[in-house]
Amino acid sequence: MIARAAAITLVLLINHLTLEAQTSSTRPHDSTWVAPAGATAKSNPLATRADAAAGGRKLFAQRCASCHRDDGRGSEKAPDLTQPDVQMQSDGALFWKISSGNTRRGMPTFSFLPEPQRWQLVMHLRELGPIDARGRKTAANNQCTAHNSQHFALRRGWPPEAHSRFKRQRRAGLHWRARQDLNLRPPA
Amino acid sequence: MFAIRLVALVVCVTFAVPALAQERAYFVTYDHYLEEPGNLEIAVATTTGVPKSNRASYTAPWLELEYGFTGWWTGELYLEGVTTRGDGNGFTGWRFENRFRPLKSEHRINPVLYVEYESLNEASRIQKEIVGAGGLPFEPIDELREEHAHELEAKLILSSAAGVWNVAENIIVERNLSEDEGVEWGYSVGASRPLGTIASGRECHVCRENFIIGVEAYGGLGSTEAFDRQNQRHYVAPVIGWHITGRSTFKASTAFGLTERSDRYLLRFGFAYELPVRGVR
Repeated sequence: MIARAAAITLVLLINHLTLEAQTSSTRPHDSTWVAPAGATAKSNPLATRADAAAGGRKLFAQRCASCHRDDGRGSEKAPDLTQPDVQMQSDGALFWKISSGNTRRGMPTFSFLPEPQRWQLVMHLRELGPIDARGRKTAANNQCTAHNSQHFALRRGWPPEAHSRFKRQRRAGLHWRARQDLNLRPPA
Repeated sequence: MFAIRLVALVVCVTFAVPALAQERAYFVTYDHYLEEPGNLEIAVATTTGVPKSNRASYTAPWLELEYGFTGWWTGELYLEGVTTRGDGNGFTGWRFENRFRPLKSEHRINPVLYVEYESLNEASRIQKEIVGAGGLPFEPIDELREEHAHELEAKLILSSAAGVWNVAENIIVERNLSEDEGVEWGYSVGASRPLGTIASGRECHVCRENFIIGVEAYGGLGSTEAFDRQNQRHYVAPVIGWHITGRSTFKASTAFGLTERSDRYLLRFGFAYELPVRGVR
């Protein structure tokens, strides 16, 4: 009896490991799935709340990682979220896609999550960014982040020099200071 | 044999990928969220009825196996029973339901089509939906179990996400294939919301974001043969759901009977566990 149980356990384990190995191929993106223009223009109301990103990380692990994996690099069930074609999309577009889902391609609807939680997920997607083979964020990701921060500033009517200062301080590793400056300055 | 099954279960649970259950708080009302493709949800629940007259109270447990075949199709199998104080207990039948989501993405109102086949006997008490008119039969359980019925049920589920709220309406039609009772009608409506709107960064079990509260109302609306308002059963029920862990949800509700034919209370408890398995399309 014990031998039989052990044999079944072994078969299940091998089966599981085989299936895991098969997950190395990543599902391609659905190029026909495009957010409407109105949704794309929406900005993230939590963008200034750095503390909200941690919640996004937790939500991603709970809701998304089973298909997209912990690092967002995708699986046979779901596409790679670190790719530029995802990261170049606006916050509003990502929010719309999380909310709406794409049921024909297996992406569930997440509108049951309160809106702030969906924005937290968007914040975490931004943290994922493109990753190289060694697991480091690539230059493309930095460009992406700069691009997003520029949009962030422009949407709020910050003067151009504020954005330049943000970039300089960012390079100097004073990211927190740059954010603080932007947040303290009233809109133009 | 038991040892083999236990080992297999432990292996499946151990190697399953974490995923958070998106179990709804309602017991009767359906919303438009289907099971995630490839996920199997195993749920146990009970309905305990306290009748208005001096009749014995009853408890009807059921087991629910829900599987997401695709992003737009979820199937569910129910096995149900009943136990009555001083009147024995027994198996009351099974149901197989399918839910189809015709639209690809989210809309202001999201329709879902529901089709169910039921093979039940008259002792069934779980009251997953209430249709038609008339109270529950209170003959001895053994006698009621002799009377079988094959029923076909359809629902139009309309559900919306409005801010943090979910609002859902179900229109129910049921046809008894064993006897000519006409087509019976029923309804259920519900509204629910999570208690917390922003997710905290720390892992927590008893925090606001893990709780859902709401209310649902359901009842029968007669049949094509008679509206029979006097004999209809209607209930209103506050509901609460708690995502205990990433995969498990507990929910509870107390339904208050609103009409003469309704039971005084229906106490419902449920526990669901979500298990990702393979076979995703």
